[in-house]
This record gives sequence, C-alpha cells and structure tokens, in this order.
Amino acid sequence: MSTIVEVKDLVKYYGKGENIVKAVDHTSLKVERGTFTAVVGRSGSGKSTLLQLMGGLDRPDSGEVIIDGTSIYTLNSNDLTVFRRRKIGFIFQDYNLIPSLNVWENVVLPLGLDGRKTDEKEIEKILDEIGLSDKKHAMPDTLSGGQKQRVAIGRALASYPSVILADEPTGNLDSRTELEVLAVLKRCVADFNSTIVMITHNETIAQMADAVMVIEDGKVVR
Amino acid sequence: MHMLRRIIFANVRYHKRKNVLTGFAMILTTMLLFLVPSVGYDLIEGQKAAVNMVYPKWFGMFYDVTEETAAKIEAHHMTEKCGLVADVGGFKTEDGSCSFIYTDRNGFDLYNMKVVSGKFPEAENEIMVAEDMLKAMGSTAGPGDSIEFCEQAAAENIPTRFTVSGIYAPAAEGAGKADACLVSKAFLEKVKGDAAYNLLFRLNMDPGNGEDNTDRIKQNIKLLADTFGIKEKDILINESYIWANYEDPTIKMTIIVIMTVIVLIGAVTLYGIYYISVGERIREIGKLKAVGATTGQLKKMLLGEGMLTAALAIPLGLVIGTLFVRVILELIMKVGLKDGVLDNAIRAAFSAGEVTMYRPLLYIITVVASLITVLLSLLRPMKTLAGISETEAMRYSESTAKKAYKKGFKSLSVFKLTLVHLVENKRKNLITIISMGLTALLFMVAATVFSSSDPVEAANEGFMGEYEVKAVIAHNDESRPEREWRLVQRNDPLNEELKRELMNISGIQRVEEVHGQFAKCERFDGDMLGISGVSEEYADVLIKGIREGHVTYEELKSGDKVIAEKNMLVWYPGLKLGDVLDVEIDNGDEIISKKIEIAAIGDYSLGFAHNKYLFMAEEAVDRLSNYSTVTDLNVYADEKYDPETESAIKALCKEEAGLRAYAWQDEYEQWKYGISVVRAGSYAFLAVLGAICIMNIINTMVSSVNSRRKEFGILRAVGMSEGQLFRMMFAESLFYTVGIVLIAVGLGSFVGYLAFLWARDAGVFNLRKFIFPGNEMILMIAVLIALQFVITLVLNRSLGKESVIDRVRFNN
Repeated sequence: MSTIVEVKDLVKYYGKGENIVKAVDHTSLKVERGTFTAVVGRSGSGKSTLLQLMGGLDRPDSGEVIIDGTSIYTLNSNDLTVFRRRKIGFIFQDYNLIPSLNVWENVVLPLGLDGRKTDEKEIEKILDEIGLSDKKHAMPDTLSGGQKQRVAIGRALASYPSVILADEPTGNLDSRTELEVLAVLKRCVADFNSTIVMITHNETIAQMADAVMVIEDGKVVR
Repeated sequence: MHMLRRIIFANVRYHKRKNVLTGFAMILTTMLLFLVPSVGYDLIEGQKAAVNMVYPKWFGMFYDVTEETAAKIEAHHMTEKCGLVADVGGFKTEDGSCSFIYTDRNGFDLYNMKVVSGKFPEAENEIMVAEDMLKAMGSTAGPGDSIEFCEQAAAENIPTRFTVSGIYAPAAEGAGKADACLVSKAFLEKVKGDAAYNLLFRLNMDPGNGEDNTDRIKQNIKLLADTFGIKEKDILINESYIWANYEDPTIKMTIIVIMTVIVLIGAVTLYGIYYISVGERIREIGKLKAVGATTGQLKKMLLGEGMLTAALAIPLGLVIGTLFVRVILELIMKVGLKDGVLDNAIRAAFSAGEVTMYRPLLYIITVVASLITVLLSLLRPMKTLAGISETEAMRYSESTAKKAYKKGFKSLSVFKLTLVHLVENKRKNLITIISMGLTALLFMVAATVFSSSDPVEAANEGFMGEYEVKAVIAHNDESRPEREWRLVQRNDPLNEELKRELMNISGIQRVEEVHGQFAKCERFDGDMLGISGVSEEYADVLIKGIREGHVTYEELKSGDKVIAEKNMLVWYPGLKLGDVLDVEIDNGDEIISKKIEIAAIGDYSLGFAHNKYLFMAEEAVDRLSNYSTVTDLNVYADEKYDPETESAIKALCKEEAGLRAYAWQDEYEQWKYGISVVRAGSYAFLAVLGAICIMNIINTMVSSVNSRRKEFGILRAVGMSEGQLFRMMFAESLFYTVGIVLIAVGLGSFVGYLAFLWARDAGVFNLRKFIFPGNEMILMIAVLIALQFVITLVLNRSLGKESVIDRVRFNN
C-alpha cells in the first residue's frame, strides 16, 4: 500500500505569550491509500485543527501536508481550492448541507463547482450506497440526522477524492444511527476504494477503523 | 431602567449595521423633506421680495375716477390705502420719453418710491425729479435749483423751466429706473383743469376669512369696481405684485406632492430594511415571547428601536438640510440667476436678509413627515412580528427551505446556485427591487421629459424665422392709449417701409407678414383673444394641425368658422367643438358683432400661433378690419444668429415706434439655461432619492451575506473558489439591477411617455418630439452595475478576512 497523506512536523499555535494554545505541535503522520484511519483524542487535544490543516481549510504556522504527492501549502489560495474540490472530501459533525438545495443537488455540488459534468449513473450508485435513492428530491430540513450525514458522505464521495476527512461524523447522532453511518463509511472504503481519515473522541468507534492514531496536546502519541 | 427600554437600547446597539443603514435612509429622507419646501419657499420668497422691490405696491388701479369717487372709495371698508395719480403730459428725449405726472403722497408710496432729498412739489413751477433722470441728463441740480428741459421738445402747454423741489428714487436698490417728473397739484389743475385721476389702491385683507389668496383678491377688486360703477375696461390689476404677496394654492400643492413622493420612497426603503430585520430576528423574538414578552411589548420594542434611530437621524438630517439650504441657494444665486432687474433684485433680497431662510414651521413639518415615514415603514413589520408563535419562532431557521421536496437541477453551476438563492428569497428581493425601482422609474420619467426637451427645438417651436417683429398692441390700457388696437390698425408700424428697411439689413432673406384680429366674447371671461389669419402658404400646416372636428381652408375663408387652439379649451373650460361664439371685433372704425363657429380644435406651435388662440384664413381676417391686420413679421435670415443682424433689427424696431423685436437666439439661450437649471435640480433630487434606496440594496445584500456566512464557508470547503464566490454574489446583485431596470425601462418608459404627453400638452419646455432617454438609461444601468460591483467587492473582501473554517463554524 502507498502513502496517500503525509503530515510532516505540522505546527499551529493560537494566541500569544501566556495564552498560547498549541493546537498542533510538531506533529507528523502518514495515512495509507484505501484505509479507514481514526484519529482519537479528547476534547481540546487538537484533533479538529489537525484535520482542518490536513484538508487545507486553514494554514499552518509551519510544517507540510502532502496529499497524493502534492504539498498543499505550496499552492496559492485558488489552486488550493481547486485541489481541495478534486482531491479532498469533507464530512462535518453538523452535516453542513446547503439548506436551499435538495439531496441530489447537495451531492453533485462539488462536481458543479469544478465544472464537471454530472454522471447521473454514478450519482445514483452513490445514493444507493448511502441508502437515499428514494430521497433525492427531499430538502435537507426534512431529513433525520443520520440521513443528513449520509447526504454529507455522498457529497464527499461524489468527486471521487483521494481522501475523505471526517470530523466527528457521528457526534450529533444517537448510538443506533452512529453505527449505521459508520457502516456506510466502511462500505465506501471497500466499494469505492476510498481513503478516510476520521476524527473522533469516542475510542469505541475508533476501534471500527483499520488504523487508530491517538492525539494528545497537539501531538500524535501513537 | 424599564426592561423594555433596556431591551430597545441594547437592540439598537446590537443591530448596529441595520440601524446605521436605516439611520442613513432617515437622514437622507429628512434632509430631502426639509430641503424641498425650504429651497422652494426661499426662492418664492426671494422672488416675492424682488417683486416688492421692483413692482409698485398697489393691488389695482381704476382709470378715470373723479376726486369725489376717489374719496368714497378711500372711505370704503374694503380699501386699506388709496393714492391718486394723473398723467399731465410729456415730451420725447433723445433716449426715450419723459412724462409729467401728478401723484399724491399715497400714490408715491404705492409706486414704491422714496424721497432722496427736498420735498414734494407744491408751487405751480415746482417739480420733483428722478435721480436716474438727473444722472442721464448730466445735471447736478438739487432742491431749490432751477432746471430747464430742451425747449423744442417740450409740449405746447408745458413750460420748459422748473424749480426742483426734491429728488426721488425707487425705494429699493436693484429696482428699475424711474424717469418721470412729479408735478404739483396746482400745476395739474392749471394744465388739465378738472382732471380725472387714476386711483391706486390696496385692499384690506382678512386672512382668517380666506381673503389672502390671489383669486379672492381679484374677485374683491371686481366687487369694489361694481360697487362704484367702474367699468371693466377701467380696471387694471397688478398681477405680479398680487402673485408675489399672496398665496398661490398650486405652489403649496406641488410641494405637498413632492414631499409625499419622498415620504413614500423613504417608507418603502425603510420597510424593506425592517422587513428583512424581522425575518432575521424571528428566533430572538421567539425567545422573548417564551420568557413572557407580550405581542404589545414586542411591537413597542420594534417601534421603540425605529423611533430611537429616528431620534438620532432626524435631527442630523435637519442639520445637514439646514446647511444645504444655504449652499443650494448660494449656488442658485451664483449660477442659477442671470443679470436681469428681477434677478438682481432677488440677489439683493437674499443678501439684505429679506428672505426668511429657515422657517420654524418647516422644521416641525419635516419632523412630523419623517416620523410618519418611519411609522409607515414599521406598520407591516410590527404586524408580522405579532403573528409569530413562540414554538414556530424557536424552531425557525432563516435559511430553512419552505418546501419539503423540490425537483431541482440535475447538475449545478455557479449560475444555478445563484438562481436557487434568488428563488428562495423572492419576497425579500422583490421589496428591494420595488423600492429602488420606484426611484429608477421617477428617473426615467424625468429623463424622458429632459431628453425630449431640446433648447433648439424649444426655440424653433416659438419662432417661425430667425427674428420676429411684433407691433405693441394694447387693449383698454389708458396708460398707453397710442397702442390701442384701433389706432395700431389705422397706423400699423409693420408697414411696407419697415419691411423694406428690414430687407435692406445684410443677411435678411425674407420678411413674412402675419395677419391677425382681436375678438372679445363673454365666453372668454371678457378677455380679448387674438384670431390669426393664416395665409394660403400655411394652409396645409393649419389643416394638418386639426385634432378634432373638420374644416377646410376654403371654409375658413368665410370668416364664420374658426379653428380653436386646444389650449384655449383648457383656459376657458366652457368652450367646446361646435360652439357658436358671439364676438365683438374692432374693425378700426367701430365695434362689429359677429357669430363664429368653432369648427375644429387644433394643435399648433407657439411660433405658428403667435400668441393667438383662434385661426381663420388670412383673407377672412383681412375682411374684419378696414385697415391693416398685420400684427407680426417673421424675419428669415441667412444665419440662425448674427449679432450684427440682431442689433440692426433691434435698432430699427424700438419700443417708442410701437415695435418689439425678438431673436431666435435669445429664445434659444433662455431655453438652454432654463432646461439645464431644471434638469440639474431634478437630477440632484433624484440622486438623493436614489441614495435613500441604495441603503435598502446594501441592507439586503449585507443581510443576505450575513445569514449565509456559514453556507459560503461550506461552499468554500467543498470547493468553491474565491472568484466563484464573488461571481455568485455579483450575479445575485445583478439580479436586482435587472429587476430595477425592468421596472424603470418597462413601466418607466410607459409612464415617461405619459409624462411627455402631459408636458407637451401643458407647454412644458415647448416639447414636440418624443426622444427615448437611451443615454440616460445606459448611464443609470452603468451606475447600478458599478454600485452592485462595489458593494459585492466590499462584502467579498470582508468575507475573505475570515478563514474557511471560521465561516463553516459560524453560527447564526
């Protein structure tokens, strides 16, 4: 297996002097292609910041993030955006769907922004995979939490990215739905050969991943 | 502090952006509400002050009144002050004429004169001389000195040598020149014996009884004349003075209409902002309801917030308005006024502080009108707020789509995302578009009138050639008996000799006669109206101008049928097509009675009509006089304007010879100046109205961006570039432009065309040809696009300062 994500000596501090918060503190890690990796840490351990830096949503103070051979912080803002929409998929804890778009439109959104034509069969396949084929015209506010998160997964999968970064994807869900969503994620790894990096504070959930990393005080400790 | 007041104060601070925008809109609305009536009334008052300086102060004059009747009229309860004047005679000087007039002290005052030195003449050989006249004569004579007039010029019974009893001058600086010599009563009696006087008078006014308006004053003058058996021909009304000093109801009405437009546009703008604000604050309102706020308290809260903003904005608007009144008036004094006697008098009135620039009542009216604007804008949002239930409000999410399902697009693009947003927020967007669209519509209406108003066309409309020479004609004006129509017919100055002399002037191509007669009729309220005798050459123009009815040029040769100008029906509303009029016509020897039928209604240019309302064939008009019927000459020249030609014509056609000459160029300059002044004023007014509406656009766009910060963050996270985000926001804002332009161009063109038709019929700017304001429309669209671009750029920059993840985390 080859490395798809490599984080090298990444640093991100907030504040100054006595108030300095070392959100990510000289952290390095590697993620292998086609794996489901969980990064576990307590609240405030810096796991969300790490994920945002890995996804190019924020800029580090120093260090490097290499995705599929590209050091993403060498790209200018516009190129980074284009890179992000082609190579990285995101799943957020609070779903972050666009409320004025229906399920189908939310899923095809990254493709539209990239100017790519929608392959309707592929999208139907994804909707089948996430179990929302019958809900494609539904508006997000009519869906349950689990369904919303499955739409978010569909959106992350639509552009067949190199890596999907999931930030506490089950944090807002009850335990039954939590398992349902995790099952979908695992299936996606197998069926679409996706690479998923999932942030969670729940060690039990983390155990469902192929690999588990633990983060404490901004550093990956194991 | 009372809890509600505390919440109001806290909310005004918390919703700073919205309140700053509503504040700006209120400041501009207040400023306009104050400026329009202030500048309007200041200019009217300035003009009135100038008229008071330049014009005599009497309301009316009765000719041919005996001393006994004069004494009775003076004692009558309707008169406030009376003065006697009598014309003794005069002589011609090299520069004009000099008249000898008797007037008593009251008459002197009513003529607005002052004694500079010496006293009123008492002895037979005493005269009071005008200061200007002495200067013109190069004389340094003072009271007690003797003065001699040119012997050969003096009339037979007027001596040439007098003793100067005093010197007088117009009471106000800037007034016209005085050039009469005032003689004593003893002199009058010696020369004229039992003279008949002209009686000048002012009436007692009772404002409480509605007697202080122009129409009522005229009625009372006629009533007074009837009481003392004075005939209508012996009445002269000082129209300019009465207009200047007593209220004209149409001025008040015009100002009220303009202020109503401002209130409506201000209210729609503020309503748009409050409407969006209530939408944004539904959850907050729900929380307040949940903790026990009643609907009444919530309404008071919203009203209180509006009034608190108004309490800060209205005084500021008044202060800015107060400053601008002076700036605008100074600008008008500098560039808006020319160099005429009245214009100089207006300047003098302003610099002498005779105009009350700031009126306390207008401040009060402005505050009330501004508060009404705010209140109107809050009515609907307060009602909406009252209808929100606690549970609904708590659950409410501003971005919640109202539908459960939507067909949607198969694929997406930035443009499609824009469409989705616009459709989702159609009501909010519609209010913004309507608010700005109203002003854009007004702009298009004004632009249509202005673009159709061309000073060249306007001047052409008033002139047939390059110059016009008119005979000075008077009707029952005893101050100018030699200009009575009967005498002019007999001894017409527009004779062959004059035509020959005109043709001798270099550059003159052709001189064309215009024939006319005058008819008096009860149906014309006793007025004397001109009948134009149209020559065969212009028969086509005459017949083509018919708008109603039918008549041929041949029929018009009979003299029994006329075409009436359509404006005549406006001034004399009782008249209609087919009416047979009993008219009296002076044929130069006697008054003849005749019946003429209004066979058609026509629409003719001022140049063609020559101030006449009725049209016949030339030969028919000629038959109505035993002498000459030439009233005007149209003079055609090689060039539109040549100063040498003009001065040669004007030198030939002097007032003393009973002639007046007009140049096309003067008319053109006057129109050019008038149109540009009105255009600048109107566009400035519309620019401020536009600025009020821009607050609405800014608010709509800012609140749209604020409520979608998170959405924009998500879009950026899933791959929307900064450029795509800018394009999406700009496309959304362009939608407003499209909506506004649709209203302005669609509805505006239609209303603009109606305004053009109205203006053309009312004679505004001598409009004839409709010209679509294409350039103005392009300018308006360009300004709107530039404005949207700047607002989008500023908003985009402010969004760009936040990282994508901050935007994703943003919670409404």
